[in-house]
Amino acid sequence: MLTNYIKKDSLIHKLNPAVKIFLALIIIFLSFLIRETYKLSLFSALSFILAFAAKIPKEFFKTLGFIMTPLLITLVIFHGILNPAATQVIATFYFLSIKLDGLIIGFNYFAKLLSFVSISYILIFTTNPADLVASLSKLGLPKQAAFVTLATIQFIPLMEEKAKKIMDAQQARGLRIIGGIIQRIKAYIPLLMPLILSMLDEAYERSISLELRAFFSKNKRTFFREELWRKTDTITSIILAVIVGGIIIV
Amino acid sequence: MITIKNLNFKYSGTNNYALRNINLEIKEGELAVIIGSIGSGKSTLAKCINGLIPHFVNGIMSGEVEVAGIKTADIDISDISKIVGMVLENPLTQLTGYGTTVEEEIAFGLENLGLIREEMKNRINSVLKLLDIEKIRYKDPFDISGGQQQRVVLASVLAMKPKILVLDDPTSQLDPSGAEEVFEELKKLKGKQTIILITQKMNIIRELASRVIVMSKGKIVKIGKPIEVLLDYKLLKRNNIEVPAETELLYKMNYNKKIMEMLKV
Amino acid sequence: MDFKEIKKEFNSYGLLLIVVGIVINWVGAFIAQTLKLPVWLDVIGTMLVAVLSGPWTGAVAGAATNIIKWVTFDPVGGPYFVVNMAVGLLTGYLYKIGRYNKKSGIIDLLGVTVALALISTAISAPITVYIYGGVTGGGVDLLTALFLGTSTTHGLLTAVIGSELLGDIMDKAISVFLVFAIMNLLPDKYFKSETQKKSAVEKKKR
Repeated sequence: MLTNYIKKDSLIHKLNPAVKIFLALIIIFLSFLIRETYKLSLFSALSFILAFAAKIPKEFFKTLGFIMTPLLITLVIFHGILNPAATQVIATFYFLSIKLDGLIIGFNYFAKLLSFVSISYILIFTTNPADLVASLSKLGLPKQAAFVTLATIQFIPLMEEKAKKIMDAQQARGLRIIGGIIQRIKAYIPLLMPLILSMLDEAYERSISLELRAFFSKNKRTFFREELWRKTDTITSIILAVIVGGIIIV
Repeated sequence: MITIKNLNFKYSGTNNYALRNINLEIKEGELAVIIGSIGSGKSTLAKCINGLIPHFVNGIMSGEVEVAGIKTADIDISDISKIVGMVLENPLTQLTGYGTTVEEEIAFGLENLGLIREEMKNRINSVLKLLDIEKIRYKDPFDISGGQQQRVVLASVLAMKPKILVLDDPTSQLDPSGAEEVFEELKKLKGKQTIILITQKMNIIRELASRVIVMSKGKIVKIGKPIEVLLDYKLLKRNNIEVPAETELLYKMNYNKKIMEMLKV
Repeated sequence: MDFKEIKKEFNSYGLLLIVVGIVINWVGAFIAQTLKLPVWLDVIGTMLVAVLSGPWTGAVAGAATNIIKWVTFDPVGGPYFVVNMAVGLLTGYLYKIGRYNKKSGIIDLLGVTVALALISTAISAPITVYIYGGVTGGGVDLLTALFLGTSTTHGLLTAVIGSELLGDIMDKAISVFLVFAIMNLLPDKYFKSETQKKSAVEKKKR
């Protein structure tokens, strides 16, 4: 299964996935709407607190740091030096001038990204994809979408393994994967083609299986996975709504 | 349980009929085994029983196929699959990937049927027990052996409680122990379930079949008791079917004619 | 727009093809990385589904690639789902009108490349500017910096468009030719028109 889910016994993990999904959607939406850097930082702070509440601070900050640090550096330098709208020069370095308002703009973009990425990671780390899909199905996600999502997360790791095996097999048959760029592009088809053919065959057979399990049946669908909405979910939702609302108004 | 009248079928893009004038009746609780060489039409016939023909395959069909009193041409394949369950050769492509665990994979069909959770759980429990796969209940269906996978597929199909179960070469992609596992399960089901089994494994037929249907070039050439068919050297040879070793031996010793006469009551 | 036609694309085979498309997008990009190719090649699956099944299944395969990744694995490329989706739609319709298929000549192929590159850049550049502040964390940023630095009259968006376009032309050119090769290597039976039809049932007249 393709996932970065880390299984832990925490309040956040036990939350109904719908709560987390809504929280993520709202914060992501607001991240792109709100301009004030401090508000965006507060959203990120909320995610950081949730990371502690979810007992995953180490993994959370490690992943976040790995992804966001290069972006922070690039954004700040980029806008600090190159943003054409920036004017308040505070330092010069040979022919490059560092502008304060540029740095601020860069940091603002970073804050926006950090907010969006942080809450996404909270969702990813604390929610089992199968539970997520089950929750979304209850909320109205069509069964076709549910199937495609679950099948995808099952098959990607399997096919990646297969791709590696094909790479080894083809190399054993003399395929060169190092060399000039034309050489390497030419190697692409013999590597991808066997995978495509086997996947298409399997797709056809599996579509038959789908029909034989009455997938397209017209009756109402039911759910096996239990998704309980507990009192804690209601309480947490209210608390989170108040926090987010508070951040907007502050 | 199954009534087939004057069934003819031709795959589109081919000139020859894959099924010619098939007339067949299968009673409830029977375990009928269909044997025949490649191209004899066994799989095509199986597809007619579960509705893949005419609903999923391109071609021309004439005649009537009735399962549990309903004509397959009249209802959707989703509805037919509630009556006729089918297990095919390749366990891998019969695992839908909808389930991240074995029990979820089995639950998939039940969700489609719209059963309440209590009923789903009951069926899953009983089918896990029946097929002896309780210990892999929470395992990833793609992380188990071929024999186990085919049992999961069988479980998924049986959980839907179809009146008829069709198995098309369910063990050819399995190793001997895997094949053994599947046949053990079928033995358990004999008599309790109407079963159509297509297989090349002659030794299994004797133990399982109530009747054997011999097909060749799209036609049914003989229907009889297992022992009748399996000892009929000439019939088997004529239709390119693998002759069991004992039959070959008896024929060479000229004994089987006498035995055949003895058996014709 | 024929809604019935569109709905037909999402039959059981169409759904499985979407899964195939997403997986190929993923694995295709993985192979490109392993071969150290300077392009993403993450739309091969989308384009393949678009020609095998239809523009809308192609679009869904494209969008789902980014979205599913977003909620299970890696959120960073998420917002670009719109680009992948557009590539699916455009490729599918180009196939439908006969401008992109296994028999396409070099002029048509170049045309398809340009069309895809233009639409990719047109959608991804604004995303890069407004969501990512103009940077992608990749090599293109150097190009963008170059464009920005050489002229004070160009805005950030223009610079990003410039650098993304160069990257996209290369990426889409290779993708278009690769998918063209794949279409020629695939037997006809995989193309939608050959699969999933009902049999004609002859009604006996008495």
